[in-house]
Amino acid sequence: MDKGIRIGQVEFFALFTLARLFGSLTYVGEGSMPIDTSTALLGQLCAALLAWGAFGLVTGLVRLAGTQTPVQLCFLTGKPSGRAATALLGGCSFLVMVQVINSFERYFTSTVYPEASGFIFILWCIAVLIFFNVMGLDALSRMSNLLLLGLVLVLIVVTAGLWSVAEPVELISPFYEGPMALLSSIYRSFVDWGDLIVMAMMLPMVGGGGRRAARGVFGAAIVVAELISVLVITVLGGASRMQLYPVHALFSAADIWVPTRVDFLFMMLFMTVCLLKGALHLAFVDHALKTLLPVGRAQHSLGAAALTAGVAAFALSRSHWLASNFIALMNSGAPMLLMTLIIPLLWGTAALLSGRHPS
Amino acid sequence: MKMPYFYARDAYQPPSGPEGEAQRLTASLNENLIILRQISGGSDDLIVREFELCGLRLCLLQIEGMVDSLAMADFFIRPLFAAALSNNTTPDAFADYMRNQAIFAIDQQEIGSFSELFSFVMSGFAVLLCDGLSTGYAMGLQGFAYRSVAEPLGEFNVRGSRESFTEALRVNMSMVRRRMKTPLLKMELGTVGENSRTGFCLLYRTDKVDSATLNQIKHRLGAIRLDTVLESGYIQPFLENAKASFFSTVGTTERPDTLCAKLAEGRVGLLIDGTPFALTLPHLFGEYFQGFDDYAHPPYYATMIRLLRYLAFLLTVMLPGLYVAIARYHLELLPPALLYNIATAEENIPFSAMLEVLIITLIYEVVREAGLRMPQPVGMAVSIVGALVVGDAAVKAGIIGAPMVMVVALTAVSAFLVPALYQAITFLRLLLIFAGGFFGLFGITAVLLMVGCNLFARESMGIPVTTPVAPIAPYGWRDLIVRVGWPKLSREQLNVQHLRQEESDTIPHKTEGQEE
Repeated sequence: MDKGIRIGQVEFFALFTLARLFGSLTYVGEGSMPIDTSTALLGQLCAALLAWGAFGLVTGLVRLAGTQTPVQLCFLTGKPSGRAATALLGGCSFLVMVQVINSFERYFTSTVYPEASGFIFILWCIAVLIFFNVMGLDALSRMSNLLLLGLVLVLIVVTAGLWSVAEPVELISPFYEGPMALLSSIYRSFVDWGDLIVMAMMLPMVGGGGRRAARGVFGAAIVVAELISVLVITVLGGASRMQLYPVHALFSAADIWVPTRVDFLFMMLFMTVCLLKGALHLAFVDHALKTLLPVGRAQHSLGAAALTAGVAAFALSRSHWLASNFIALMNSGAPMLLMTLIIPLLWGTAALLSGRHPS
Repeated sequence: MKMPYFYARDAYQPPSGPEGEAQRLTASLNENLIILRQISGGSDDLIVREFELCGLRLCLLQIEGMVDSLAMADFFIRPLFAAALSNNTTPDAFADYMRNQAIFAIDQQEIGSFSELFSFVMSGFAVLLCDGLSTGYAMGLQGFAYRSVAEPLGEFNVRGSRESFTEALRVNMSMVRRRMKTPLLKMELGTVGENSRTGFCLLYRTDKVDSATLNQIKHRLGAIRLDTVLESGYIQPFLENAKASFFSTVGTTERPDTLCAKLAEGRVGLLIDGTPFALTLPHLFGEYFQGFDDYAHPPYYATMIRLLRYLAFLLTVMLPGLYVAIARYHLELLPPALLYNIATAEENIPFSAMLEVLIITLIYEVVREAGLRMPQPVGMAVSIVGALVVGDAAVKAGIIGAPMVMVVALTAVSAFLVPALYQAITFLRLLLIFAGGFFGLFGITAVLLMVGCNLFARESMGIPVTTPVAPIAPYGWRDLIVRVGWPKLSREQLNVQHLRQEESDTIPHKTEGQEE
């Protein structure tokens, strides 16, 4: 979150479009946000619009208060309350990071290399996250350009490979399951937009303001999510509920000549998306720690945050009770709502009402 | 006393020489010669010839083998002895003659200190000292031996010039100047290396260069504290980006025409005395895949060749690693027929796929290195024997499988399409073999992401090396993978400075000086 970093609009768009894919790719059946029903098609769309509204609200408050980022906005209410808000925001982002590392480890040890030790994957993940952050967010965003191009190519290949086996009749009315199912779908999709806070934090770094790029992120993310949902519904249908990773199964079903299977593309995509999202949240956690800690102690905040997240993810992989409670907490949407809506709204309104703002 | 323009060091710190060098020349020739011998330690290659002329005691200094004897005799000694000087000429009259009437060489300058004296003498000048004068006269009559201009060894071309740089700085400068006859091309000379005092020449187009970039390069050159500089590789690390990487942010070329093309795009060139290569800055990643012939071929063919180079780069870096990863962890990716063939070929091989590829890669590198270092005819023989050993005998002996030979052979040949990246390719290839061997496609993806991030983090003089891909700058796309035709290239001539991130949003689609 270095102010000296400058990111282009296209790079910002690519980075967050990829990070947003995490929700669709890590879908593991009933537990998390459903993407395999026609209800989800409308739910994801409505959730994206809601998220756009929330993002507009937060960035609007930030601008109205004459500040640059949500953290700066929180500090307008005073140093102690600003520090408390920063700690809460950083804590929520830390939870998202743990979720990412945990998903990373779980996917590889359950689907790709079932006999492997989860510890190795957590170690790799932490190493790459730290490396990405050492290289800088600008490098990460530049790389995203190429990765997004790769994503588009992969989706074209997979869609073409699945075309012959898709059953469009599976697409039914989104209202078929009733309004409660639709509302539930909207909520679950909405709370998956945990990257909004990092987006809002990075807006000042974007050349030209970045609002247009942010709009693009919402547009592209919803297109990709809907495409994946349509493919899951029409190709896997009800069978998707029996798959541990339905999107992985979807890629495995794609009929390509050479190579015979393209599930390795899913693996590469999954890795990329996880690592990008994890790196973004690690950058935010690092920023929060540097804001909270004295300069001397904040020197190793990046490594400390990554290692702590790794230890937490390892603990989750060892304890089923801990993991199920953690997943329940993340699926409840509490961290996301706190991070992207409640804290910025409360602190922002307080700052505006108290008149403690530069403008 | 004014130094000759080509030794002006306004921008650079003069190297601090041995003690006493900064001392001024005195009016006593004897005293000067004593100091001279003290500083030089009586070096045998310093020729000191004392003589008398018209009542004056003169002394001629030169380094053996660095002055052209014929030019010295014809343009200096003969005219000097034939000069219309009276029998009892005073030192002041001689100084006036030297200053206003005599032209023994175009590069003729007065010098006032031992530091200047040594600078000139060591560069092949002849220096004349006169008893009674506290100044000397340096004359550019260099005539040392150097390799003549030859064909480039690493940047061959089908069309266009066959000249490459030599080791002599002045010859290299003249080769550039012959191709760019504009006063806008500026050359600045300087020295680097505390004791080697290696000459270098900064070249740039005054109408295109970015002054901040130029100043940064000058500053970095001035800050170099090396005792000896024998090759451009000594200087290159000082001009690199601070972040460590496999990919250099400084370009090299041995072709004067390539250097001229880069100067025309707003880059800065650096020629180092004793090196047949020029350094160019800023250097973008896309430049590795450009060749001089691309601009002589029709655009469609040039584009195809560039695509081939990118493909070859990916192949040579990734193929062995991918092969190992798939053969060890992801056999399900292969079609059954191909899988059967590979399994049949590999069933009797005693090594794992990773060890097998490492062995054959190692053998290949040994053979290649031996071929490079040996005299050319022997080197060729070594390559042929090596190819036979690796290719045929090793397969028959059951040490390696035939598919592996094909993989490594394809990898080796592909590397030659991007010769400037050879070191990076070799190391990355090994890294991916280990990653693929130990972690399969997961390891390969992780390493590629890290290497990619490192590449995208690199900047060359403030310009991200991955531009115009990222940050996106459509302005630069017409000469990246697709090479558009000359009419369009000349209409909107590329200037690398316009690819800076802050400018990429508002690219001036016209170069400076171009009319609206």
